[in-house]
Amino acid sequence: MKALEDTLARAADEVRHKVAQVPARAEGAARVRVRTARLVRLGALLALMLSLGAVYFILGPGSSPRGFVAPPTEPERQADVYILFPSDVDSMVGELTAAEVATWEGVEYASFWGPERTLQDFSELFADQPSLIAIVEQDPSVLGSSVRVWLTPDADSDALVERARQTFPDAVSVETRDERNAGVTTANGESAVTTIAVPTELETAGIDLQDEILADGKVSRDESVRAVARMAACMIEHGLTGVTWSVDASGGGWSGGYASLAGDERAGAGDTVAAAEEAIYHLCFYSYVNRVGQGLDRVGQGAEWGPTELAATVGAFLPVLEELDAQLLDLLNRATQIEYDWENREETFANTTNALNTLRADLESWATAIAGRSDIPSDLEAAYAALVDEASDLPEAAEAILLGVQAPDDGTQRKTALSAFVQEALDVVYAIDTLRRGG
Amino acid sequence: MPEEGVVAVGLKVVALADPSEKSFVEDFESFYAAERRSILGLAYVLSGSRSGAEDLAQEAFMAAYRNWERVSGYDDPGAWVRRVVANAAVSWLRRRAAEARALLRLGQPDFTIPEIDPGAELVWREVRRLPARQAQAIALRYFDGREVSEIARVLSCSESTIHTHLRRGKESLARRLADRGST
Repeated sequence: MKALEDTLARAADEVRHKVAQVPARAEGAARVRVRTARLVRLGALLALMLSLGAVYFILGPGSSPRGFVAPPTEPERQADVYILFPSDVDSMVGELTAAEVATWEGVEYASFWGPERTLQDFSELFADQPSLIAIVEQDPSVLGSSVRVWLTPDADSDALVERARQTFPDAVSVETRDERNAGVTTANGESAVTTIAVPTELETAGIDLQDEILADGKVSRDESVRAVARMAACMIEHGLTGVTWSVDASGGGWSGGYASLAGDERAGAGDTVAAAEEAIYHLCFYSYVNRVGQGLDRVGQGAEWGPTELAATVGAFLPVLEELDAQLLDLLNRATQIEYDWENREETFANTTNALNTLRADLESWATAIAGRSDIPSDLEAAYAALVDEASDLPEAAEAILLGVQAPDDGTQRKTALSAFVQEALDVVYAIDTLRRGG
Repeated sequence: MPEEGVVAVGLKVVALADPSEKSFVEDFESFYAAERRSILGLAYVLSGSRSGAEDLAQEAFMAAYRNWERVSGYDDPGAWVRRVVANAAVSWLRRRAAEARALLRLGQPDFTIPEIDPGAELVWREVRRLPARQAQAIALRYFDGREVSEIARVLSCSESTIHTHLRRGKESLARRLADRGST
């Protein structure tokens, strides 16, 4: 082990040495830079979305391989499926996810809703409860972000929900419209006796508790009990009576926890009191349980508790997937470096086109090697075929960057191609991750 | 100095603090200056992304800044930031997001970590192939120089658990590096 520790020490020294060469971000021009970065990012996203839309329009509904055309505007009716992400999910990842979902069979439209837009929606939904809105406005991140999906009339919503769960393992949950509405309905229309003024601030103690529970990315049984018990205590402290609480256990796993009021405490109160109870309930829910509950949802999908039982052959294949993942990261790093060197005029046109040609050729070899593997466990064959398919798209995506470098424009074509390349790489990541979970 | 009401933290500009609370801002800036390189390095060894590590580190510092009133009161605010970055760096979604941001950061100054010596890169790549908790424990111990008790605090688990992660991680790592003729 001494030799290993020496090796690690040398490797650490090397990284420290190189990190010391990275300049700190100066304060002075930060505002200008952030504006520029946002514009560039928005431009790249817009270009990506426009290019996707253009393809659909050019192909038309009859000739499109997916057989549909994405409508230019979002439908006004309620979405059919909600793919919920943590509130801090990067907006670009959200936009790319929506762009991907929009290409799925049976999808009429898909769009990303970040915390701001979700708050707007929430405010309209609870327009009659200003105190509740005031609580949530203090920290809109409690609402999370989502990709909302509108389906065509003949679409199989169950199949799409399953596909979304498989494709986006970091999603907090995937819900149908009915499931989501059920959640809203249960939060309305009840009443309780209270004369306490409705609080207007989330409780710091609860936010701290949730931070602490979620710090390791997991929610244990004891932690869920603590969170729900504290929510119940919060409700009692704010004057609600008849509060009960429990943490569900079903089928050997935890499905979630809740605190509520006993039925006989709800009778006879007027609308004003009902609104007060609603606000206190939500104050305590968002303070102590909401984000932990999202963690429990992930538990329900087998991500943390009740780990998926993988067949031995699949388990033996995981190192191969890790290797592929590392190789993909290297290829992405190379693309980053080439782009940076060209953008900052640190490389000549000839060197840049050579580097992109080499990258394209390496991607070709990489995709060919993936396609040529013969050690695929039989239960992974279908998912592996999807990986082969996704990886085969990368060389062409790199070729598009090369064409962008050669294009006589202001760089827009290259940047758009780069965005598309990232999307293709993300598709490969999704495919690898599907294999990791046993196909 | 930043504009009134605006605090600049690297690329990000946030109007969060009352500018009259100078000590608040100065306190955070000192913390940022002292910890930046360690956090950036930790983000790299756990994510493997030379270009995305800086975004991961910025993300962690921004989280600390948003919660600075509370985080600064902790015995070791650095442990809190390390926990954020250690978790973010091993999440593929966040790692890819940082990668994508780096790819789209066109025309910006370069915050990419220079190319790492292949031998060292191989070592950290094998560390990243370990189960996430083992990789985090080894990175915190051997890159960041943290004691077992500190790692336990960062990762919110017991010292005995950390000892187990370190032992198992080192055993696997030694085996894999030996297979590659690197130790």
